[in-house]
Amino acid sequence: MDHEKDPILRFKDQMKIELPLVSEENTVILIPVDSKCFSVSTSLQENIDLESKERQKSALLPVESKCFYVSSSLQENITLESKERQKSATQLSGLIIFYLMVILVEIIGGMKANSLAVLTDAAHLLTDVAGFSISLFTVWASAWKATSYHSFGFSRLEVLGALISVQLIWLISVLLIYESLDRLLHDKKEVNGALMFAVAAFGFVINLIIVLWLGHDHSHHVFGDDHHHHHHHHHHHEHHHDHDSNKPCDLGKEDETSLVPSSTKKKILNINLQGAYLHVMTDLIQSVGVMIAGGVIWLKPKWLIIDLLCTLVFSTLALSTTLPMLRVVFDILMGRTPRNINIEILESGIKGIDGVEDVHDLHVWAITVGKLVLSCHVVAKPGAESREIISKIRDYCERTYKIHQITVQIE
Amino acid sequence: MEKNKSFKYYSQEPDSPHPWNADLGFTNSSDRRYAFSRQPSFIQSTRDPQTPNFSNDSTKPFLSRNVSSIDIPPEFYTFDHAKEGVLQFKGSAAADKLSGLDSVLWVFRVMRTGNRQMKRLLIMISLNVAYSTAELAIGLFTGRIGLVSDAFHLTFGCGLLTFSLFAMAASRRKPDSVYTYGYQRLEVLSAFTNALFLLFLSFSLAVEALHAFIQDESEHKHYLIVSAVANLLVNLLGVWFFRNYARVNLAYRKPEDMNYHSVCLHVLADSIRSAGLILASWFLSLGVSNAEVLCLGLVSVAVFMLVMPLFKASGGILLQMAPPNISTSALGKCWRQIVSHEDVTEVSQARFWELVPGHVVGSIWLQVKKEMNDRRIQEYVHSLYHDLGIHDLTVQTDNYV
Repeated sequence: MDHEKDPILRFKDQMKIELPLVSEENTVILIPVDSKCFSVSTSLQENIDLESKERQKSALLPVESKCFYVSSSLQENITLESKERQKSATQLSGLIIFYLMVILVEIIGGMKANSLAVLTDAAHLLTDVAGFSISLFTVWASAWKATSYHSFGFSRLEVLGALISVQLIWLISVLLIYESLDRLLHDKKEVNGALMFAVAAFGFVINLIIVLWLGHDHSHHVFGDDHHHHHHHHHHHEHHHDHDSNKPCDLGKEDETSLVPSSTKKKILNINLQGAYLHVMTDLIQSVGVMIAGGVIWLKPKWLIIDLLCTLVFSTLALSTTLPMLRVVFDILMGRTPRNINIEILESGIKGIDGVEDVHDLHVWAITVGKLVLSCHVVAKPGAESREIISKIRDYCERTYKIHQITVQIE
Repeated sequence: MEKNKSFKYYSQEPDSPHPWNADLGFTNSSDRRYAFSRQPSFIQSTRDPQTPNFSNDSTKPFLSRNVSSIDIPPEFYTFDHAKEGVLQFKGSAAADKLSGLDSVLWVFRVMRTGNRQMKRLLIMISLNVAYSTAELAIGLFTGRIGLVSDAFHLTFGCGLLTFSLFAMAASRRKPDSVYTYGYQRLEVLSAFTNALFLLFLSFSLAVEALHAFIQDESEHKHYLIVSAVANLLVNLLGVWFFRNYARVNLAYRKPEDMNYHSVCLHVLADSIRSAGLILASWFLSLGVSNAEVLCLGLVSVAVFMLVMPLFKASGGILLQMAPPNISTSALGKCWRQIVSHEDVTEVSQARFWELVPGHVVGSIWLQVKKEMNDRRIQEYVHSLYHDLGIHDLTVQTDNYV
């Protein structure tokens, strides 16, 4: 029986969860019939129509005497996210296909030339493809609807997928070091510097093409704290374009979003792509290293040790590029307050809302990059209306910090 | 066990993590008199959930740190309010860094003050490190690539075990304003990383078996046997140290359970691998063809089966899944009871997740009919879930007009 299977999610909940389609944002507040209600529901329909490609459309809002208000920033996120998800999926599939072709070429060439170096390079590219497939899988999986066992949806899979991807990169680097040691110890007689150089140059060119292609679309500074002003303007344009009907909630939103580093918007897209990008980047760096080593050995066939040195140096370099990503993954998995939020300011902001006497047990954490959850206990001033306090807190958090999952206990 | 404390309490309580305690929170473990208090079962989990969480845990006998103690052993029960208030923000920034000198100091601290498991782990790690460096040196000098690869493998494993050790030590820190839930998730993370490594190991063994099958070479590498035997001995010692956790399916009650389990499995898998290598070479000497393939394949499958439950459990916690030890029927029963309450019209967004094994956090939204019974309904809901063991619950009540 359905009820037995999903005791936690009731039917009404199902509908609410299908609404955001990312299975998270159910910031539904109850407010009395207002002008806000009316204007919002129309644009909501638009947005749902936009996303009707892969998912079933369910009867959206129960038309009862209640009126549902969904924040406009939430709607933006829904459409943006599904668009970006499709874009990421296509990019990743393109990458996988491209790399598979390259692997095929290398395998054929390696078997014909009977060169172990080319075959091992093909094997490394295979792990890259594995990393890409993991990213692709998580992009697809994060769209799944929430179940009673995964009440937050599946977005966390992205983070775990990124972790596994980065571990694969580390594994490859260690393997490369091991192989260069192997070459040093075993093939003392002849190391074909020219072949090394050629293979590495081939890999370098391919990786460069891909880096330029990927890097064209997103910024490298996803994990930094810089503000990208052109992204900020992009955000503005989307905002105005989609929500002309939401005049009331537009007021005052622009200046407040500037408080949030606009790189958070781009962050929503890219943890999957960033994982793929890191794979390609590390490959690039290591091809450079092998090229240098191959070139040196070509010129001076006696200096075999340079192979090992280059590999070590460039592997460390490549691994250090993965560190920012690891930091983000670590932060999220540890339930850390997101780095762009100063919890002291947030707390004092909540306290500043009238009706709030005190706040405690405040927790802010991220489900994935860009999806934030907040829970707190608020001591209300006697006589204050709890509904108003909740909606004010919710507004404040959504506008200033883009936190959409908010649970407030009024005491 | 760390409950989610208000990070406000951070400035009031004396034993907040200190900014220049980069050696990671040995406040609580330093005093052996309070060893019993490290057991989470000691901490009163029957804290009254209905009162606001201002005054947390008066039962905590945890120690406080003298503000200026860097190298001197912690002074108990002294604290400095003013300095704490100023320094509480810097704490989070400095918390991420661990300088070289600090790590050396930290090693000595672990040797002196860690709990038994930590000490054992440290012994094992040092053994492994010594062994792998020796192996690496010998391999490089004599030019045997097999030894070098084995040394690499060991070093990787050592790195992981060090991370586990670090997690054990660091997870004792109190929650601060940045890590509002505390640092206990580190244990789960380290368990997950260990499980991941073991999965990679099983996969690479399978690849090796495939390689041996294709190449069909059966060289006798005698020197590898010696290294395998030594490896086996070291790992068996480790298994004996952590013998309490030498099971495949374990019920995790405390956060450290997962970490210890992962260490044990790591060591167990390593010893299985060494045993497999020894067995393979013995079979080869007996003349059994394809012995290497068989043994490696067997070992790979064994390690995989060994690791899967831990991987799933730790992955589940990291994925914010519903707590596995609370049955869905119990949660459903609570749900039904709430819904059948006269004042409640609707319940939505009931989310429960496990911070660490044994510590469940939840949030739930209610729609209530009348205005004035918020408190009563909240207490009712809290008490319902309290019986299940969920103490950190945030109940949002919306008044439906």
